[in-house]
Amino acid sequence: MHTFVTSAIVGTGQQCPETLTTGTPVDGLVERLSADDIERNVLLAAGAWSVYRQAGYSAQRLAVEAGIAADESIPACSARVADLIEKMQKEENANLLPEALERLHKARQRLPYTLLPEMLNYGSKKKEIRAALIPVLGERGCWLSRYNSQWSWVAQFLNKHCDTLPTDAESIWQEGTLGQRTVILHLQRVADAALAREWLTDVWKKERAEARQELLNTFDTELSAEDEAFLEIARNDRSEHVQRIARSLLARIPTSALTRRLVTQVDTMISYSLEKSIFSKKTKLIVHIPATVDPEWERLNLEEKPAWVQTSDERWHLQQVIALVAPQHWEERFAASVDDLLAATHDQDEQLLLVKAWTDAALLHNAQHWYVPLCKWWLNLRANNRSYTSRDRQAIMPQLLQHMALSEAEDIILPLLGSDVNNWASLFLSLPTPCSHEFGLRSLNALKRYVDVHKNDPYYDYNWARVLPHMAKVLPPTCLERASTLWQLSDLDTWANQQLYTMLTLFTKQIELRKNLLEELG
Amino acid sequence: MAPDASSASAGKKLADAKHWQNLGQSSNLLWGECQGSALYQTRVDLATFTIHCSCPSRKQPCKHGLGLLLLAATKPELIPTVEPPEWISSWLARREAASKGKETRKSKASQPGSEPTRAQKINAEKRQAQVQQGLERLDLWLNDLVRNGLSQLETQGEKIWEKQAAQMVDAQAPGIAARLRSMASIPNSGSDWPERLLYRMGQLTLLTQAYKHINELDSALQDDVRQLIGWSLKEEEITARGERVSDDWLVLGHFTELAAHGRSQRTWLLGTGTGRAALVEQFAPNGGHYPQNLPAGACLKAGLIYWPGAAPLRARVEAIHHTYKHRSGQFPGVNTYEKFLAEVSAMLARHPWRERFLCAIHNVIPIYDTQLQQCSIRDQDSYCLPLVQGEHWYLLALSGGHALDFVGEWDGEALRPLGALSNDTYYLL
Repeated sequence: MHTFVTSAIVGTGQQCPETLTTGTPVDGLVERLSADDIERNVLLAAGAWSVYRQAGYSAQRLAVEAGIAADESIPACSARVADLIEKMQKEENANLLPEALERLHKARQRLPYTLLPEMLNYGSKKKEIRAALIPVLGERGCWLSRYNSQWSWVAQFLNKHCDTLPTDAESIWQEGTLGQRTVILHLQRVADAALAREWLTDVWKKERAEARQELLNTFDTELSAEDEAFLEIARNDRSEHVQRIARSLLARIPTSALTRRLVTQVDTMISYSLEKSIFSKKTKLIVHIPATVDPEWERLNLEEKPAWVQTSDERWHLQQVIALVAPQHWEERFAASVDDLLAATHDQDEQLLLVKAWTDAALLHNAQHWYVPLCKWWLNLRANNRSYTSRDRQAIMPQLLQHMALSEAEDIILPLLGSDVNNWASLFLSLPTPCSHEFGLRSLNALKRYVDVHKNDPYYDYNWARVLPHMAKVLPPTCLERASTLWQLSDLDTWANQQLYTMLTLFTKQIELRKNLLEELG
Repeated sequence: MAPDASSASAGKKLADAKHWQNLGQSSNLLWGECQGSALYQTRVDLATFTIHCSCPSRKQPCKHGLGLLLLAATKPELIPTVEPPEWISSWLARREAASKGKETRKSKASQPGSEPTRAQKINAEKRQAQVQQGLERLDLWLNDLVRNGLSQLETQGEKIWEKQAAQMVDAQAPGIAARLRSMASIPNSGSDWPERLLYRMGQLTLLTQAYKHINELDSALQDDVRQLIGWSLKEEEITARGERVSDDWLVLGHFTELAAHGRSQRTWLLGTGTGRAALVEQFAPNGGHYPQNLPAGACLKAGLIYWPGAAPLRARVEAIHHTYKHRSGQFPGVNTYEKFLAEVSAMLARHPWRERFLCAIHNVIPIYDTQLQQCSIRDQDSYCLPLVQGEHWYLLALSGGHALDFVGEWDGEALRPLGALSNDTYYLL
């Protein structure tokens, strides 16, 4: 820094500059100034120096190496597809983006370079899109992601559904993020469950509770009796969450000591009897509620009873214990089918307790053949059942539907389509994608009938409208033409129908977007 | 062209013949009537894409104009070539009359012997005196700042700059006022702020010094100094004295900034034949539109007039003959920073107060320093100039570490990106 600069900063009143020289041709100009006005001379010297410096500015060589992105192996999508994807990335159409990215990947195309920053930012915010996004980023997208720490998820991402274990699996296990390690452990369990268990045993005590919980969940894959010893250790973990995961896993091992104990206990509490009369045969399932909570159950670390549940502690605990026992056990023990067992609960005091427990057990043990009978049972449950709460049904039905085969789920919903949309809206949202052609058409027609009837109702309840984004997503390609012409939107564009008009316009736009995408990518 | 996404979307909605009546076009005009809350009359000057509409929209161009243009672009067969209706012919007549009036004023002003009136002389002398007094007060104030030390400004805030700028406005030196306002943000902006501020104050002092000795400067530099102080040239004067250049001008891009009572826009143009750079500065009042629509990325076959000066840069578009999409292929430019910075140096020698320079350079690579989080542009000799602070991921994505052609605005410290040519396509940045 030149002395005149220092003087100007401190103030020439306090520190008069000894000289105004810069060692450059600027000095020749400064020499010609009159010595009377020191402040003005400083300013003029600074001005001349600044122009001189700017005129003599030279670019620098930087030590930073420019990395080069590898050549692409697949072509970029067309400008039209890029435009559609950009629109689908917007919040209102985001429900359509996963399908678009999957179709792009299947068509062996990638995103154009111009969309990369936007899509990488989108992936940073929405974790659930990453698996679909990564295959269409291309070499350029992966290259670009290395320069921004917000996009590090691209390099760290491991696909849980890939077939093979990466060659550097062990180093990822040692050094990776929790997400990466969980995927590696899952893949290792598929490849060699014993080795995976060994890996986890080695580090178990050093891991944080959150990590123990995530990593223990990988035992869901290739669970076997050999895991029992480790799971027993985990059942005594400091974390309650870990204890519960270990308990549920142990309950799924048919030969585990825990399973045997649970079965022995609950067997004494449920009996099945056949009552014969002249006109009919009737089976009855009777639940014997224990007088006190078994101390063994305390160790199971069962769920706390929520405040809104109005039942005794003994009943609550029994329900939790039955939920751990595989539902097939009851079929074998009583030599009865699922339908027979459900029928035997009819008019019994503990009917709801048993069916709730069986529903949880069916989901835990993935007892597929129980899903449809249970679903039907819940649908037919009368609202006047004294222990019934709609909260039960609303929470349970979607879970069952999500685990069912598509045709089974559709068969459950189809009979409801003739009724109020609000009756099937929440079930429709649990439907896997895409639905069948027939189901698609029938649900569209049901929706149209409903809108036609209620469109001029001033007290219209728009709660049902949440099915629209899901419907736009799950309809099969063969239904899109019908969906796009379902409504004469111009007829609805009145002041009284603005909300409905806006929602149906968005639905129709989304259908158009999908149609255009299918035209381009098939 | 659309001012925002909602206007673009509304425009698309109106690009349907069912919304229009009395559609028509001629060689240079497009018109139609759109039924909204009232019947709006919309017309588009096809040479400049300037839209006029009778609707009350504050957004410019309005959705009716955009809709009409989109309709003409997508379904030209629906717009017949017909005789213009009365409202178009009367508008054309008014425009012609206004244009004639302007021409007359221009020719009067450009007559060599036309002497200013007595009143004009008195006004000019009065303003001269006001500016002179204002600059003397400014010099005293700048001297005081140096005497008391720039470090004291650390705690002073922006008010003192605004106060001084207001005094310069009163003294009819708005150019100086703008410079003072731009200096207000320097204190406390980085560790070297006192040094940077001193240099800016120094340049301002050089300007007041130049004004004191204006008669000793050559006439072109006199023009520059007067414009920098705040004397604006009359349109007729520019027409009479400005340099005219016809070329195919590539509209490289715009920078828009909020200004008092509106927005200001800087548009950089580059002559594909002459290699000349031009800077078109326009102002739009709140809710209004810029006088000329210069679509970024387009190429204009047009005539420009430069403001007179020692190194002419500011220009206005006098006549657009044709607008077309940028042809593929390189635009004029340098190959190394050595050449570019030599041009900057030569420009500063002629006009020491120039703050912005167009950098059009071929075969450069954008690089990103992850440690400093700084993006730079490297030329083929491996020299780098930094880009302004901010996100430049789009540019990096376009390049992928490969060479491209780049255009940006150099302010003496960093490059501000305007566009890049990659694989024969020009991208706005």
